[in-house]
Amino acid sequence: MTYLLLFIPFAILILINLFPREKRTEPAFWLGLAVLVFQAGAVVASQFGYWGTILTSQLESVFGFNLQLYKMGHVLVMASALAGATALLVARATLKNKRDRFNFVGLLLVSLIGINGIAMVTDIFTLYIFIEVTALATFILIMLNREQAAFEGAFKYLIMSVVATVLMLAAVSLFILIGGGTSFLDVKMAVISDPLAYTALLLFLCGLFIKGGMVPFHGWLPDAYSSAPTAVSVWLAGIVTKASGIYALIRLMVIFGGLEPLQNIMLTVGAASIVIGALAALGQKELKRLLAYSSISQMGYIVIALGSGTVLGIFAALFHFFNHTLFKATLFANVAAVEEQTGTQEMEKLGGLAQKMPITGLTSAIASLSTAGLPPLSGFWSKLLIIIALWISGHYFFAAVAVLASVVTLAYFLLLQRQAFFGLVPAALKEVREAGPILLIPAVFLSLLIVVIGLVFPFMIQMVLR
Amino acid sequence: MMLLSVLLILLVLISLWAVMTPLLLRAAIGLAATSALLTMIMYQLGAPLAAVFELSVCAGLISVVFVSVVSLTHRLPLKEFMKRRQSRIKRFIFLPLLLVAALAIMLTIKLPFQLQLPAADKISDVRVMLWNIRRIDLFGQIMALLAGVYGVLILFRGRKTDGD
Amino acid sequence: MMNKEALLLAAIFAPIFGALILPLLGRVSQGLRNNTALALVALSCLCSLSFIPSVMGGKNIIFSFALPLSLSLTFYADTLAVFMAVVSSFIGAIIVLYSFDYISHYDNQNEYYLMVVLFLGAMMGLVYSANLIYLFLFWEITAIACWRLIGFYRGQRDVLKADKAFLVTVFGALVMLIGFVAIFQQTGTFNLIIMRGQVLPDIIVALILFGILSKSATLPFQTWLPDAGVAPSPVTALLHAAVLVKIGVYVFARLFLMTFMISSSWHATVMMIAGASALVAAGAALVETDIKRLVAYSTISQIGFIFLGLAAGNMVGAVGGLLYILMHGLAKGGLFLCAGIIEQNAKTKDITRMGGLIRTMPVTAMAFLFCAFSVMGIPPLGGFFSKFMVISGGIKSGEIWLTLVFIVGAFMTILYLFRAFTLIFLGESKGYPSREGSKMMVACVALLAILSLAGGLLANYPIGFLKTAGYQMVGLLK
Repeated sequence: MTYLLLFIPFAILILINLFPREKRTEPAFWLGLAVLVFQAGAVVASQFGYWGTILTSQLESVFGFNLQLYKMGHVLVMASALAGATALLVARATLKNKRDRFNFVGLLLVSLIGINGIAMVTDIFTLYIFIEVTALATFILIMLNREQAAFEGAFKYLIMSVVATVLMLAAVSLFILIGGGTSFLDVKMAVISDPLAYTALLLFLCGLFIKGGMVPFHGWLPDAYSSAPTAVSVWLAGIVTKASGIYALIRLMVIFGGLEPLQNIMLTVGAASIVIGALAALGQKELKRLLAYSSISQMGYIVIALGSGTVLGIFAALFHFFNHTLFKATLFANVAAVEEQTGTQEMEKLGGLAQKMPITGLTSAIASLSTAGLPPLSGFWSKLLIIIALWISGHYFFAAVAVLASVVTLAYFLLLQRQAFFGLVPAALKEVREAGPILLIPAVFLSLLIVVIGLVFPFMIQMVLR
Repeated sequence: MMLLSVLLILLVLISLWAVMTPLLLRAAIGLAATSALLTMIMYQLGAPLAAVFELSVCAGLISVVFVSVVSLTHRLPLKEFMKRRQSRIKRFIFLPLLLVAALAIMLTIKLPFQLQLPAADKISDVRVMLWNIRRIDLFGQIMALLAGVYGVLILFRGRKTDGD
Repeated sequence: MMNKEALLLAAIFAPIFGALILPLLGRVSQGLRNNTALALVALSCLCSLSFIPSVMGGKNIIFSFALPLSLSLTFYADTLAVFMAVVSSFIGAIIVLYSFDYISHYDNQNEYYLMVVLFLGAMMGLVYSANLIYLFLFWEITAIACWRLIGFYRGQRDVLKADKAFLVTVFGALVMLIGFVAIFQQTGTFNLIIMRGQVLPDIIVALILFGILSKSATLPFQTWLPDAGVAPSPVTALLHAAVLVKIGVYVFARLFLMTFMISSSWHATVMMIAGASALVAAGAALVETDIKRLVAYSTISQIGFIFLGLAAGNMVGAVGGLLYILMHGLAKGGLFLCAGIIEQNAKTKDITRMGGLIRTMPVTAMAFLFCAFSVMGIPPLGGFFSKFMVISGGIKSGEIWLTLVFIVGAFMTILYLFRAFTLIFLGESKGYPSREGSKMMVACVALLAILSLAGGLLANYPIGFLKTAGYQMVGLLK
């Protein structure tokens, strides 16, 4: 049954190409949306057998309960459904060319297959293959509008990706050499017994850091995000980078999280990403670049949580992973709305848009504050859990870094709010109107989710942690 | 043994061609051919697992390279092209020397490889390998190739309409 | 008779969730929205008032909903909480009433009422929370509401100041959050009732104190408060006088007097910080010419007195400090609202350009004078009793020299408030046309002035009430 998550997008991909060329854009959009609804439904119904297997984990438990991580894959599939639906709607509103819109759906489906594959892997080589599928579809998506900047952005991503590929492949070959197999179980055995396999694991992690855009391998990320069409940015920031880099990291840390050197690496890389990403975001002049650096910083929170080496840390990381999809997809949908209505995404030319575009302004404020970890929004709870996990496991310094970087996060989001939404309307923007419903629906829906999850989280956690 | 030697020689030639050709597209094709040959060689040597990995890696890599090639190249005028080829060949003058030197070094230093070969009967048939054990990988590889094809199609067509 | 737990929840959640429908009501009718806003705050105040007999009789009200991870939703109404809730919701209600006229000719009114009522609801939640995480949660909601309210006029400068206030308070709050997590590590719970009587290590006290000082704008975090004067006057009254800055004071009392034992050297430290704060701010107020900044500096200075009382470590001081919250809220709220009337009707905030306003706005002038008397501590107004108790508490604690500093501060208070009164209301008019504020606004300031007076004449009642709070304080048990 689980394989339906791979085959249904594939079948739909073939199906939409069977329509006559002139009439295929509309059905492609609706069928694509149907696939994503199916994904979300699959998680909600969660009848698929695969996730029934409980992942054994040797992490220490903080609160005297053992988190059952068997629903990890659900988080990724659900997040991809949400981000994908947002991206589709944004593409419908912003991509003017009919053929581009059609190709967008096709490539989204291909990368969705990759992401769903990542959600269900139990083998490190299969993991690599699906990461590659996702990455390939993404390169083309970035270049979709065939602009020079997009080619450059995609090319940077491509080069870094190839480096990551080489590292990961080298690691896989070493695992085969030592353990004779590539399933997670084999790899675990190999790593415990052989220092060479340990090195291989480090290489693999390095590859994942590149894919996830962590400091010091983050150079490609802002260019790729900001040069791509906004619909693609939603998809990239909302799920692709995280699925291929960060989710894979979480998956591996469930298995290897007890190893102290790995924890130290996670803590260091995470802290560096948080701080550098946040500080760089402060200096940005374009909305998309600011959000891209913010993504780096937020990914840092996930990685630093993994470094705590506790079950709570893994849970917090997964939760922040999901939250990040919510607020980043909202913010990019808002950017799409702003760009659509004003024709620019440079912050200096914007201002006071909350008066002209009240819904966009409100949703962006909610998403911003959630990113900064302010209660009672969903981002607060995940950051709180991350901080508790770090503090309880004795990483006081890193907990302090995580907390204080929140202030910087808040600072750059206040900068964004001040320059774009909060304030007086400049003369050039007097005629601006609120964006159409296609761009507002995803933003409103996602920010509603942010608020609702924020309010009911303490009640929800009871179900999750049982 | 005969077959293996032929394959090895072909491998060296084709990979040399891939490195030396001034056209990116040809280099990409050369890489694909190299990869395919390597797969065959590995299979011949009794390592079907490695062969399968090589194939899937190449599926991913080749697609990547194709995409990047298509996105980056633009046609040069013939004169310019010939000039570039001349200068490029000059750069590879020392290549044969390097090869010979590398061969000599490899022969003098006996590398202490003590790899364990998989038991011959463990997984003998590539088809079994592909369809039963790494089925999901195969699906992934197909997807990777599909994505590559998709990319080439989109970018080429885009080029055409842009040129109009 | 409704049960007390339901009333407790209503006191907190009626304004919070009610606030969210105000913008919708605003689309229907302005009057409906305004009256609903007032009703929500008043409801909250009435609910809190209804707890008084019960808590006076020593029966505290607890609402608890068990949740894992020590995130249990627990609300706890004891004497301190009820006192604080009544004071802030009552002053909040008067300020909402005042805003009806003040704010009626500006944009974004829907957002204004949403944020004011949300702010007061969050204040209720903060006051009644017995769980550190929820306390933090409501603390930050007040910060968000403040951010929108300070930037109400949307100008470049307004928004910058709003961002500054937001950043400073959130920074402090996050440092405090680290302290909370450290408490959790030590005690294994976030529940304040369970951890009653625990001894806190110094480092945690320092972390939490950081947050408290940033929220109540005490030295060295005082600068955001005068800057926040760019907000509309009812907002500044709400933030500076009545509610926001008292959050820090309240949390200090809640954690360090009611819950934890801290080493006595902290009392002296807090008193020193408070003394410096009182003196520096009073000095700044002496030379300030912007009426709202002047009153804001005065607030910083008076907060120092509250800290003196609470940190004195004896009954008189603690009760005096808490009484000060009430008296200062009434009087300072009145001053800010008077400043609002003056600012709106004299069209300037510069006190050197005013003069002779007593002729055109006599009621406002009298209200200003009474409120100023109360802040100065002139008998028989309410401010006198609180200031007297705080200072005698300081002397009782043995810190004679420090208390002398505060007496100097009190003297300076008299100086700068008289200076302000003279410049604004007496002397010759500088030719600025001026008129009395609207009836509703004047009535509000008059009410606050009368209450300041009544608070002094009837000071026995609040003092008696606060004594029951004093008996519950672990901080006094040594």
